[in-house]
Amino acid sequence: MNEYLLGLQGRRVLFAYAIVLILFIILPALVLVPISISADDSFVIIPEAFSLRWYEQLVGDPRWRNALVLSLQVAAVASVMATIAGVLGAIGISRASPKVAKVLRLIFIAPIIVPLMVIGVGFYMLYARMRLVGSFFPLCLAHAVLVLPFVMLPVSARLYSIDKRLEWAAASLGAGPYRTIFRVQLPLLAPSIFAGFVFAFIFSFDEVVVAQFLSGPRLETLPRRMWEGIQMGGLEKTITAVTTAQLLLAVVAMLIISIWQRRSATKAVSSK
Amino acid sequence: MSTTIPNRNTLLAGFSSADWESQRRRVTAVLLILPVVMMTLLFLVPLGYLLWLSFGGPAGFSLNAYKQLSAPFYINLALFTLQLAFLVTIACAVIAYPLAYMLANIENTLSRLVVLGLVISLWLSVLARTYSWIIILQRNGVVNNMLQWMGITDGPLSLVYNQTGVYIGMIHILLPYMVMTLYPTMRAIDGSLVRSALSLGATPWTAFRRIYFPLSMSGLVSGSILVFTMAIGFFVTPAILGGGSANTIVMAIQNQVQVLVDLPLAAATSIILLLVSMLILVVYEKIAGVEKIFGEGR
Repeated sequence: MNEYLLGLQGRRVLFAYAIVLILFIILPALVLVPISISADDSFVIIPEAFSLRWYEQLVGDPRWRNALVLSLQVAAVASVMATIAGVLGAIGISRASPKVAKVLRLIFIAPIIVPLMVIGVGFYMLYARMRLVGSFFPLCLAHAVLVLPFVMLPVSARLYSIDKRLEWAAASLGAGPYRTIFRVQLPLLAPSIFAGFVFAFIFSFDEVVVAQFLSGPRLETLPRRMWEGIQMGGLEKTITAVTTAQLLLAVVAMLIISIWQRRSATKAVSSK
Repeated sequence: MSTTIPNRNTLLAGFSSADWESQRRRVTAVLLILPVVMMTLLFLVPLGYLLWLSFGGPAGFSLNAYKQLSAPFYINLALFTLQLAFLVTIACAVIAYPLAYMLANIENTLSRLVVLGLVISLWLSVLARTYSWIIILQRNGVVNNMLQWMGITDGPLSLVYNQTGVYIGMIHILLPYMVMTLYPTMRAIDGSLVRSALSLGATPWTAFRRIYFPLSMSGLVSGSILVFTMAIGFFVTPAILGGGSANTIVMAIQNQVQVLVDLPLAAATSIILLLVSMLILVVYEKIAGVEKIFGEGR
């Protein structure tokens, strides 16, 4: 306990406040789960009968299934590209001179600072001129740039915590520069690379603003399908199945990352 | 323990340092080729094309699009967007501050639960959370049923498809970012400073006002800049929860492209918004340093 200002009474008030806020923070996640497994069409929080029919519709109904498959493909291609470029960029920036690194950091962070709508319109107009709107690979490329910072941030953070002397030690033992990167740095970065990949995947899988411009009439991604459903009044309960599945995937990925990071942390300590 | 910790010179003994440096620089350049080319072609080029279009593009140089933007309609839209972003930022700062204080200073189950909730919320799709707020806030939703059951209100309140819904949704989505920026700053505050102020006779309020709060200020500023920037560019939440009553600049851009099909106007509006966000990024760099976001010097 490191708290001196509040006193017993004040701390009790703070705890009560935190409980209220936890409810506020997780309420939207909590509400979706029971609705997605209730059998009837209504949106009651406590269902009377359970059924997986909304999940069946997600994989059974061709329009939903196609959207789901397309979004998984786009997210996979985009996040793999972003992971490769992001890891190279993060390692490159960590080795560059301070001035160059400063400029590069500003450029590489920009995709999460500049509004998605601005980036989306920029791509849309360029792609429209090049007749690339509605094609699969250009959409993946656009998403790859959007999610690049999500890979670079965790990888950079990890890079700064790695002992710099490892690189010199590897060099003094005769490892070439690329061998040092592949055999010394990359294994140490692995958990953060995976975390970045997952962040990138989730963001791309959820992205609707840029996708609605670039997907054209033929490519309908899952968020676009959901967006349309919500604009129609949001009465399609398949949307709740999608969001619950996303929630589960996110929680599983989070558990994997935290276990992995804890493991590699204890390994680092025990090998000292 | 008398082992000397190897330093750069002992480790690299036997290498010519000039060779080592030039080879190292070459490798760094090779590493950076792909990401830099990617950012140039897929980020700087589209935005550059937008800039060119906003000044008339193929039709020749013209400031027409920018002149259109000085109409009262767009001025009001810009003012509303700034007001929305400003109020959401203030609300997030006020709500997040005690929460971050607790996470930084008290280690118990409740703190761990708060972190878990924040992370789950952060990872859940924005579209999903926005959709969920419709279900919660609608006329026969959870909140309205609860309020009526407790006898606080007679009929259902309209909480969604208006500005109330937009504020609730945006605060909910941006709150985790504020807490996560405040937390490391508060965590780094030396507790002995507060303790010595108290032992020298300061009241807890004075110690907070004169010692703790000023030390937490940098986190509050960077968190606010981050949340403000994200709030300005927010599209999904105001578009869905606002039901047409909370029109922002980004929604106007979408309208210019898809309904008005006025591409130079959309390009000019985007460029203005781009300039605003780049300006905020530069201010952030001056105040907090972008390398902090990258985890350096933490």
